[in-house]
Amino acid sequence: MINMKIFIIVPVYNEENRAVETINKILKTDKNLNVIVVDDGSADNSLKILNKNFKKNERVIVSSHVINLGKGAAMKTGLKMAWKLGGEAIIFVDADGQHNPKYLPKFIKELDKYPVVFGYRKLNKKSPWIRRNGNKFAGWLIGILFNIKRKDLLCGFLGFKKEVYKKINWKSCRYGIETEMATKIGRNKISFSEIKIDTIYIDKYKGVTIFDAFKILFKIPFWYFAK
Amino acid sequence: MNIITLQIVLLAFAILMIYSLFLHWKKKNISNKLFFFWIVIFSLFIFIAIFPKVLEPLLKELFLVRVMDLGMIGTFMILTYVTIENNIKIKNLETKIEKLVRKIAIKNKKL
Repeated sequence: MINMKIFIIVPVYNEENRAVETINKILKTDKNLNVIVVDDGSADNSLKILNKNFKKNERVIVSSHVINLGKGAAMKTGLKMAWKLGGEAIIFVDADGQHNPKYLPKFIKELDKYPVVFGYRKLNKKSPWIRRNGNKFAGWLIGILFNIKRKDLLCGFLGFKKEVYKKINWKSCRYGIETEMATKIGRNKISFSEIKIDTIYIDKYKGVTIFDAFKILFKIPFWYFAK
Repeated sequence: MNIITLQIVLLAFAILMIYSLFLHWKKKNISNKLFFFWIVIFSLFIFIAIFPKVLEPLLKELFLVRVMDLGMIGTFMILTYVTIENNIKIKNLETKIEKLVRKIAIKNKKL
């Protein structure tokens, strides 16, 4: 039994078809878990559907950004709410179903031992070539520059305790949050654990694109020379 | 393109920019101070476009052959400065918007 108040944060952007199912799955994994959903100014009916399904559910808080700011900003809003509600740790889960909530108990168990827990996907030949090798290259580069060895640098299924938040607080609003976080964890020598999760690709036009990857690469020198 | 044609193009560009600035000033999108600053800049631009030879003493000092080269170097320097300034301003604006949107999101939930 872990005596830690943990919040699951689900950033949502245009996921009217999948978000409700993902949140229901999360709720089923553990009765003590509370979920904070942050709709990041979706252009579809995500917010409407979320409010309709979870308005009366005391375990779910649905909040929203009036405009789209990006995943990193939505994650931060969820996190600030969690700290306000007395949360001691948080776990991020993508709304699109890429992250299977069945691993949440494992994450919680590991969070009891480590301040940071990452998920990692075993990228096999079925994964898109560019993602597989881009991820490997980025992992290698970040490893050399920031002294951190990660199995899957771009996986957004992760959690951490409040005590380390100040050290890993990210500035990226859009993609690149996971990489920026890894650079700060490496630099601050924060211990972490990694849990193997399923490799699920839902939508090839979502997630990190080749253009996002270049933007992330461009940011690396800024992270390297940051205080 | 001979020098006269180039001068006409430059003059047309400067007049168009002044007209655009005038419209923004009339709509109160820019302050009197900023309007005056840009008018001075483009007046200078027009003067140099009409009398490029006034820069010749400066060319010798800088070991440049043509006024065009000086114009190019000057333009690149100004553009670089403006780009950096804009980048910083946009970043600051983004941060302010992010904080404001988050404040509204949290406030609406009455935690």
